[in-house]
Amino acid sequence: MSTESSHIAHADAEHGETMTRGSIVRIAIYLSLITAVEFIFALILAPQYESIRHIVNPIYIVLTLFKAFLIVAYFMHLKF
Amino acid sequence: MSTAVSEIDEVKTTPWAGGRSPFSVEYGKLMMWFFLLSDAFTFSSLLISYGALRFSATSWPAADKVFQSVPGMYESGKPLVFVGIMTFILILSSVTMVLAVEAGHRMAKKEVTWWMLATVVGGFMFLGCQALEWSHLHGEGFWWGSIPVDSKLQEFFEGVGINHVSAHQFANLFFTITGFHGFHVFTGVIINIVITINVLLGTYEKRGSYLMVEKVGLYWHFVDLVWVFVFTFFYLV
Repeated sequence: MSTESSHIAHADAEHGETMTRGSIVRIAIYLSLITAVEFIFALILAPQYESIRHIVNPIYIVLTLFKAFLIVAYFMHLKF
Repeated sequence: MSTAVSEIDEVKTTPWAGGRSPFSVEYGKLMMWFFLLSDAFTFSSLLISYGALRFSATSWPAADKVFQSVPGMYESGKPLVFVGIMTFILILSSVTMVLAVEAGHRMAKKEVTWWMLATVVGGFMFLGCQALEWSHLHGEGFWWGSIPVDSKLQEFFEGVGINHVSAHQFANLFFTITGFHGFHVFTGVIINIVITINVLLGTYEKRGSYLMVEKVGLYWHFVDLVWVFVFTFFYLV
């Protein structure tokens, strides 16, 4: 039991080692940039260009899924 | 980095005594994932209900017309700015939380404390913003079972006729879903405060592992994850 719990604690610690401060900041910047792109579509592009109005919703959903992937994969350590 | 496991952590792993632990994950951490999965189903059902009602309605209040105030600064004319600030606060608090987890892996107690405190502050800021937004919408006439008068409602249905049913659905779903999410944020803030106190008391240092910080971190990131979807479906789409 003791060996197993040591192994678990070690494995958990190893999971965290792959996320450095640099990579955390990089993911945060990606999340902020994607949100900014969503706002550009919502407040500038969609009201201005009639032709893209019908494709903005799929764009929002794709961007949202990408943000969700970044949070789950990196912040919640599922990628490692 | 210390990988020593104290007696108390060994006791916590006893549920796996019957065999190998799935995915080599500590018991509490796997249980947190199970809880988050069940919570994800709850939020999914709420958002699917929202989607079903929204897309079966002939008209729906326009988000950029409903949410165009920055409470305390601008009454109107700033569409989605306030929710942008809220989203940025929550993303930042998720970053401070993951930095606390990273510091925990290095057993850096002081850093864990500061990042946890920053996360708590972020949580309070988000809740404050949500309270302001709720009170603003309530002031405009939206609440559970209540919608603004027709002259006001017309502003939110720009270019299409007023639909009282969808306005009611919008109000009910908005307060239910953002309220349920806000309750999660509130709970997360309370848990984060408790964990921060434990960090200050040196509880996890004595255990030789800051795994508990990682577990509450999972919950906090989940709250951020849910907001990403709420933000898209309520404010953008």
